[in-house]
Amino acid sequence: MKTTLINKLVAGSVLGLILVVPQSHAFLPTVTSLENQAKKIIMKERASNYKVKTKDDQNSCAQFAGTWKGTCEENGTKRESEFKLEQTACSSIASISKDESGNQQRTTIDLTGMGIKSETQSGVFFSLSYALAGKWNSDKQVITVDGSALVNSPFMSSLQKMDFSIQMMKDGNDLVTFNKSTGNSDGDHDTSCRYQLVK
Amino acid sequence: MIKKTNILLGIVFLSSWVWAGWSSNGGNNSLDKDNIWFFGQEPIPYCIMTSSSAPPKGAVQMMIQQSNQKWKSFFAKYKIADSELPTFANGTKSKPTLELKLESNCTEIEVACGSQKTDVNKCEQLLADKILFLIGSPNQVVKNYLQINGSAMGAAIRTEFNNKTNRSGGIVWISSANSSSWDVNSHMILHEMGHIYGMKHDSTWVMAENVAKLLNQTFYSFGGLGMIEAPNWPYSYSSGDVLFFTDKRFADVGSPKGFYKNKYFLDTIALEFLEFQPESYFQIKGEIIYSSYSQAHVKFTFEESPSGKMHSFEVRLDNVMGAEERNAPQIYSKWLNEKNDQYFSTKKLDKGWVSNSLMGVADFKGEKIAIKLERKKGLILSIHFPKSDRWLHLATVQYDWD
Repeated sequence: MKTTLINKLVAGSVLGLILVVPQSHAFLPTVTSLENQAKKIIMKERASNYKVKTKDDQNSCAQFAGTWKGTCEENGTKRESEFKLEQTACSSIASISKDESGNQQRTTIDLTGMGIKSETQSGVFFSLSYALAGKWNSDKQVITVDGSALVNSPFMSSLQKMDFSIQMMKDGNDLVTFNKSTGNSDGDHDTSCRYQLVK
Repeated sequence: MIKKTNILLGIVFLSSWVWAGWSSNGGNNSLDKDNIWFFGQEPIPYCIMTSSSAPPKGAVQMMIQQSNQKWKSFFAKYKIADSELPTFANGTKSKPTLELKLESNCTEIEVACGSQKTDVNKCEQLLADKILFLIGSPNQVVKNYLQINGSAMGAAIRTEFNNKTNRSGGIVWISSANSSSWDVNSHMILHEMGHIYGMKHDSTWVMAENVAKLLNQTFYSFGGLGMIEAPNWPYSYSSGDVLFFTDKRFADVGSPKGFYKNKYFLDTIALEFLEFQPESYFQIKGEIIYSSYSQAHVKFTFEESPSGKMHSFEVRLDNVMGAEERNAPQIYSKWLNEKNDQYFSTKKLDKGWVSNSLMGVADFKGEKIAIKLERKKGLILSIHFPKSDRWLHLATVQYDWD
């Protein structure tokens, strides 16, 4: 179950997070502390070497909005991928994708450097917290999203942690993304994707 | 190499089976230590290995490609590869290789050069004419190097230079300490690739030896990460370039970007001469009109903020100091002379390089102004205003940190 839950976080679309919607039982303790832990992991990773410009040049950044379709490759294995991005000037980006059940998932990430998005889903048998933080590079052509996910369950001997990093940029008219996740039970995942704009 | 501590120069030997065949840029005193690694038309083959803590492999490849494009543009700007070179001892005349090509099969290199269990000798054989970009955990070759030279954020470690083929590969290692910063990783890759192309430490902005101190990109108004040259630290002077002499931000809260507070730098005589106010701010730029090996024509512009008052004048600056160290890319190898005799020698690819130290006297407002322009870990501008009892001295980058 842990493998399925965590791997679903980076499977499919680049920024689309697929979460299992649980029953609302407060069976497991420390839901809030898990979320805070995930946030702290993110802050430690992204705290340095990034300064926020909140006033000038806010409209001078790469544009990623649109519906994108393309191919992802990992260790020679290819798969098709499609998702939609909405962008609000240079301050936030939202990914819209469909989960395995066909339900639409929307994830919005703040790019001003001020916000960490976090959420916890808890159920009878598990509790899952994730935290995401996004930032531009200095010339606002590359977006980096750092994420951390924590899973807790009475059926696991210890808290399971997974980290991932996604980088996104334009290469000519194509959108290219580089995704890496570590801490998976089946080893690290390193995926490169190239998309073309559909609409 | 990007260093947190200074490199110890000198001959260093480890037990021969560990270190034999490897040399490093800045790590020993072999005559070929600063060599350009590859000559000839065939692209440089390379592989990429990343550890868990490193950025995604695809991202690293993108950074390498972008960095390579920047170096190609830089070499083209100064026509460095067009520098006159004699014939190599192997009978060929060739230029530095500026193209890279990702190898289709890196398995053997990954096994021999991996971080887990490095076969140092086998790794050396495989990288004799290839480059491994190792991002993240160091392998044994890198660890040996760090043991000698101290901790670092990156290193370019070359195999023994092959003066028969004039193509020698090695390892470019980048620590993944800043794996979440695209800009920092890009800058470090750009720096280490500079060594492949024979660029020496402190020859230009990206090659700053103490670049770890400069990674705080808010310190300088121009940003700087991912750039080969900076407006206040160019490699040389090229027609049309605009040099920037007031770019370090000081603690004065009210300073506009790229301006210094007048009263902290300009004495009363200078202020009167320029008709600037003590509580305002000034900026100095220099536009290169023309440059040659030992001369530059520069148009200097003084601007005051917030008044907008400006003064400009042109001046011819000459090298009056005589012979000096040219920090251009170079190669120490075996050559053929006109009689077909072979001989060893260092040749500098210094086309486009302009003297580090230039002086001149400008005519402005009916007065003579002495000016000295230097490149030494950044630009250093010294100006003597008429009747002043001191020089205005502006050191733009690291000079003050030595």
